[in-house]
Amino acid sequence: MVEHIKIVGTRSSPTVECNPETLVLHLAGDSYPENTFDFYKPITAWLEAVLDQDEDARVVTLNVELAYLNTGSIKSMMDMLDRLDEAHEDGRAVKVIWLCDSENERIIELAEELLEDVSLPYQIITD
Amino acid sequence: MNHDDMKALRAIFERCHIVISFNGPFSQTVIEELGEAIQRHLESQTQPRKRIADVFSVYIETTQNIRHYAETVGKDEADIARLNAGTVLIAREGEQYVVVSGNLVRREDIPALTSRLDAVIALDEAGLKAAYKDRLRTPLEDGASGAGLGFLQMARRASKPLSYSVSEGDEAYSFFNLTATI
Repeated sequence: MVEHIKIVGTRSSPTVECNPETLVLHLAGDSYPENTFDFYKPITAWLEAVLDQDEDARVVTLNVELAYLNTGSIKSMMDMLDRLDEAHEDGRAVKVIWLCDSENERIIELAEELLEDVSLPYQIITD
Repeated sequence: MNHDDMKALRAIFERCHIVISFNGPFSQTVIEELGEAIQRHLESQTQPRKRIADVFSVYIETTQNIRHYAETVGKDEADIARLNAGTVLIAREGEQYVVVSGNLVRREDIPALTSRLDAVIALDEAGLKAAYKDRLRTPLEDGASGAGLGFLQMARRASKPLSYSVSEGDEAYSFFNLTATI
């Protein structure tokens, strides 16, 4: 069984929930932690473990509500999207939902820029 | 420090329209607190949200760059402490803001640093985007603390090319100064 990860957000690190019941990975808040790659390591490992369960037909969802990402976080996000995209090409059911504040132009641009290069199904929702 | 020094310092702050500045060792807490102050200040000046986001982004990249550099190349505690101390300031320049950072860099690292920056400065908007996307897809080296995207991100957020200067420090270190206009 893949673990259930819950991380309480701080000013510089996002609130994270990786739920093995629903297969939803949820990220919310601002992301510029001190050691960004160390922060994302267990999260990408969780995603990897979930995608490795080939017999599971359920949809793996990446649900993003981040308002700001430093470049280390952007790199980590790109790596997760690429991994999901790879799984999608292998026939796995995956999707990405990125919820943006409609007044936060830069985050909408970033979501579009990261998602324009992947072929998996995604939605950018602005409110 | 005497009264004349204080007066001289204040005169520099006023002449350069410096709104927020910090000099000393960077820590994650300092970076967060100062970042918060920068955002609040720009909000109080009713700056557009996009500009606030861009100034904040450039500020985060430049200060986290300094911390990563100190941690990656610092040989011992004293060396790390010298490399991790720096100056960062936000100043008003006409209708725009500048984010200026200054820190010590080991002399032997200067050529690689300036050639990387020169390559970024030479790019136009489309070139910056292409280089950024290329870098995004480059696998990280083992033990990397940064994505190698910081200067590209700063250049993409800046309204004119980044500028830098290197001045003589002592035998071991040079003083490096980077400016981004937003």
